[in-house]
Amino acid sequence: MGATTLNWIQIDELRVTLVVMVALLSWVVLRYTWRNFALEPSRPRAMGWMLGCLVSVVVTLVANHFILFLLSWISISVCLHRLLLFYPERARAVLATHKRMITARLTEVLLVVSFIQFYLWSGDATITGTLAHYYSTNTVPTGAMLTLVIAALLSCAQMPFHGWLMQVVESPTSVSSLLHAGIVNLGGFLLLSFAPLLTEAESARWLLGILSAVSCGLAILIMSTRISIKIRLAWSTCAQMGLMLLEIALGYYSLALLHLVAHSLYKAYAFLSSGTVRPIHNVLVRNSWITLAWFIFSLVLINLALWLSFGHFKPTAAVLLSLSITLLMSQAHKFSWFKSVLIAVVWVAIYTGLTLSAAQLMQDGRVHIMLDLAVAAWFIVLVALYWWLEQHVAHQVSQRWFIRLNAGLYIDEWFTRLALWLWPRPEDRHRYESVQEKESAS
Amino acid sequence: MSEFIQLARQQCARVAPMWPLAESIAVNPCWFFTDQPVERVSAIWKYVSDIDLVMERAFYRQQLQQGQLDDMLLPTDAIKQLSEPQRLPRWFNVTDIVDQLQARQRKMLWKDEVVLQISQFCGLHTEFPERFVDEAQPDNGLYLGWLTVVREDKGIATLMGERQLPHYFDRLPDDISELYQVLSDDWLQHYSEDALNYYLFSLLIDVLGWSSALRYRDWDPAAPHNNIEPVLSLLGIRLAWDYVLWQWAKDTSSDLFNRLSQRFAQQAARCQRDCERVEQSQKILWQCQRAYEREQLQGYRLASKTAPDVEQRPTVQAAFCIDVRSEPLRRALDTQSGIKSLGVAGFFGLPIGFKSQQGKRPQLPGLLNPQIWVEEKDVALPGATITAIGELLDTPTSSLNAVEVLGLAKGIGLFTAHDEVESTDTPKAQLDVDVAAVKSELVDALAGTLTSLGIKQFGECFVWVGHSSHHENNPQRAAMNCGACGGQSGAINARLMCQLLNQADIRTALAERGIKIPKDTQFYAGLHETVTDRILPLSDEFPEYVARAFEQASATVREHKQYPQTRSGLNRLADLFKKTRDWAEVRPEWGLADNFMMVLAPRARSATVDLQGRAFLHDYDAQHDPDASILAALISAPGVVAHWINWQYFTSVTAPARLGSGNKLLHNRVAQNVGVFEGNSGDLRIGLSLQSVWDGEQWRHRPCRLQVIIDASETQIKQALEASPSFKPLVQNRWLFLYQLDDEGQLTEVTL
Repeated sequence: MGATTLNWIQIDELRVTLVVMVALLSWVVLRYTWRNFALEPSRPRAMGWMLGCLVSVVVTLVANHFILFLLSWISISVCLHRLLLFYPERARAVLATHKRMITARLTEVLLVVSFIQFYLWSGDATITGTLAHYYSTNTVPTGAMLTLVIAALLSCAQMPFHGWLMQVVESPTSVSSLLHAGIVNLGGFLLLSFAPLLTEAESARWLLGILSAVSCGLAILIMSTRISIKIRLAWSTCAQMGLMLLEIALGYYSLALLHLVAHSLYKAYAFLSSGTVRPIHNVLVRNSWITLAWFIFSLVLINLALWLSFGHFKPTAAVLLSLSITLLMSQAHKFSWFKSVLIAVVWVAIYTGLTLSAAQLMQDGRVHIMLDLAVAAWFIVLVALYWWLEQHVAHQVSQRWFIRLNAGLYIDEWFTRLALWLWPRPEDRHRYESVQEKESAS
Repeated sequence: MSEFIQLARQQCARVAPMWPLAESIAVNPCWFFTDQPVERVSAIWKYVSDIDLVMERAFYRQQLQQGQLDDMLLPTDAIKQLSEPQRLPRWFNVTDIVDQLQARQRKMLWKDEVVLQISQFCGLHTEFPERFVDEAQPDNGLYLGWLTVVREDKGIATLMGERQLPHYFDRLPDDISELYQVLSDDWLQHYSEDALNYYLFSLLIDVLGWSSALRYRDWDPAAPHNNIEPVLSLLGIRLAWDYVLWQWAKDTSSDLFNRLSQRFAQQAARCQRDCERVEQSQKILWQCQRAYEREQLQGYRLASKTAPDVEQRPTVQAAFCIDVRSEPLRRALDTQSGIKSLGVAGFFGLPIGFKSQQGKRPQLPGLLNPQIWVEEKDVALPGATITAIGELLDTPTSSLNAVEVLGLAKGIGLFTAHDEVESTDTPKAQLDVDVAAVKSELVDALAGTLTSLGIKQFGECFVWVGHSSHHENNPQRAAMNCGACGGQSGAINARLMCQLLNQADIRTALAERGIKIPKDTQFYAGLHETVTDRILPLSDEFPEYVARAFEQASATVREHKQYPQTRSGLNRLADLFKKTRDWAEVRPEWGLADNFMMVLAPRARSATVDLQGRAFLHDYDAQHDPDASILAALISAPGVVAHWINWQYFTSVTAPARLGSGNKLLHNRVAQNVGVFEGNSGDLRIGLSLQSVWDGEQWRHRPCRLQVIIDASETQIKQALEASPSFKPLVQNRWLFLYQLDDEGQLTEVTL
């Protein structure tokens, strides 16, 4: 310890995993971009900023010293800004970039504030130093952790700071892929870096858990009401980031890491392949009573299994897993009964296998059963609501909620106004000016 | 003024349909304007919405300086006229005028937001029809759905910064005809019919993409002017927005309203004069356009007629689609001895559709309906289970957990090859069709095709070559497939032709119609894969000498043709083949870019001429067509299809931002794959992407109207034109040009 020894970088299992993942993604995304921009004069610009972004991400991942961390964090933001504004003539791209700027600057300020608090508390400006101070004193700086959690929520585009994430589809596909598969995850990484402290920061966990659960649940419902592939993918990112943060709040750090990696690969693929014409639809649940029975049956079974293998319940994970199984079984008519049971068993086996492997890379935190139960209940309520909406399309209440959800609950409109208030549309870009001049001349 | 809704109906009927992505075919966006001179229509589109149907002055100035215009057709002061600054009057809708009059730097613009709101709603209505269908009043569904959504919407008032706005939506009538009635009684009664026509069309063009998509709903090729109710509802919605804004302005600010109503009245009073002024100012552009086309046409000279010598029996015959991409390949084949190529519409006259587990699709031109359904025999669709499991990722309740379980597996796709298109497009098995039940229809179709090709002798080996573009991850791939097959691969049609014509009973039935196919003639099916210009076998393997001839021809084409850049910069087969599996490829091939002419003549007239892949070639022998009935059929079917393709390319170049679909890197598939948005803003997009016609430095498609060259007597041509009511106005109104090819190879323009 001690401020004089400058440990600029650090390497551990978490960081190696993420750096390998980023390297693989970089190779794919850069290769894709290179080809996408063939014959375009803007090719060097696209490649340059993208490379800048990826290098900064790697530096952030291995940074140990607060200053290096902050510098690379800001550098990502600057490169990303250039990429999001790749077509500055697109008014909606400009608007989305402005919205992101509000969130990004706010995040950076919160990050600085949080790091200063850590430094004042431990006398050390590195991540390892901070953790070491925690291990030796067994105390936690609550203020710093609260600020850190809010910074993570903002940088993961959680509601109500989500608008820009959807609207940046105004930039090229490969930029969306880079953003949704990589950069937006950094909030999760930030918290995982301070995981041991977070375990003990009770208030920060409640804050993180509640906000991310609300955001996750609403975003996933909103996704199901949207009409274009990229916007659906973007809302799905918002929800998945919510789940990752939620898992962190519940102390399942290894699961969060698994989620981060799996989601990144999936989302990169989903964006890059979004040009393939294939139907997109929500699978409809058929017979609701049988479905409900299946849900309860698998919920009990999975809880039992979790209790037997881990020695405690994991209510949220069990609910989400049961939902997948229920949906699979309600599709049994597509397979055969035998095959669907087999698929369900394999599904649970893969899940268990992956979670156990992830546990090798990252130590879990203390379980927070109260928060976990609350979140599980919230998801059950939401699913009940969703099933009801889906079964009663003609009902007035269903229609009203469908319209509200489709409109993103009218949250982002206020953010748009704020962005326009801060950055009014410049006079010279007023698109009617030339026309008016023509008219007055005639 | 009860006929207001009739005026609206007439304008709605002017919108051309747009096919959904998977069946997308080229359409002339001005198809229902072709009863008027092209110059007049161009002025209307320019006046009401600033859409160009002819290139800009700078383009012609540059072409003139480079000697690309035929001086003979230009006035002497052309360069001066082209250099004069241009100030044109324009029609503005209420949304545009309010945007101009109000200070909206800190608020969203009305026009943007109105188009976005309507566009997103139409998407919602298309994606979730079950939420908006009202059994009691099906025609009112779209409008009523919009009312429900907009009345519920709390966001618009916030976004626009106008708190009172929702109030005005509550006051709109619930029925679409009532809405039109209220508008005509309450607001638009003082304006002339001309002004209303411009206004209504201008509103429609604001949402041209969705108008076109809705025009396709209930589209019946046999009665194109029926079923315009969905478009009428959309126009009603757009009108309602203007009306809401009008009333809101009236109540909000008398100053704003006075200026608004004054400007609206002024433009309504002088709209006819204004539009004429636009037409006048575009006159020089159309002269230049004609000179540009004429200059290029002079670069091609077809062969003169040779004495008909006794024709040897060809060894190999290969029938290709009329598609311009067949031309270089056919030229390379025809120079080889014993091989004769033929040109015919690529669906080979078969009135079929194709059914598989993935659904139904047409395999014939968009102007026809499938009569016979063909299925694939014993195809176990791989991955039905995988697909069903993958759908868990799309469904809200399961997607959170599914990402953790399936995410890593999905991610493997990032590192593997993408070859789904080619692997599903080249099976060789027999197709499943109940020949006995539809024998007479099939024999009719076969006889029709063989007659129109004018085949005198069948060789030993006859190959039907369909075509298809093998590449991945392109929402608009259909635009590079066979237009005559409804935007699909031509493989199914080629396979069925081969399968049928090899059957003894079909041959017997054809012989009864006077078409004698020798016993030793064997039919084969092939596929011209247009990214690499390979010809793939679709039946039994080709005889060795045929396969060799095809390979040699393909190699010749690859040596000379200009392809979009490959990763290595070379055009070897291996380099081009990589493009077919490259999911990042936005320019797999140039498609039908630079299409320019259509030749209806015996192949001998064009076989020796390098037409640079710019010509649609259809075999036609006037000697066997005394009453010009074959010619009439050719111009009204393949002729119209070629014109649609030609005008889709033409307008994608003249107005890339409005009639083209914009930047492919931003494309975003919408609602049941009805089309694409560019990003998430604005209207649904029609036309071709910029990447299809632009190579980063210049236009790959030189914007020219189709030049149709016919080897027939003037009398026959006139006779054929009289018999094809859809094609004749195209000539009359200069949407394309028609030439008679004489025995010496000279062209004479046919005018009406």
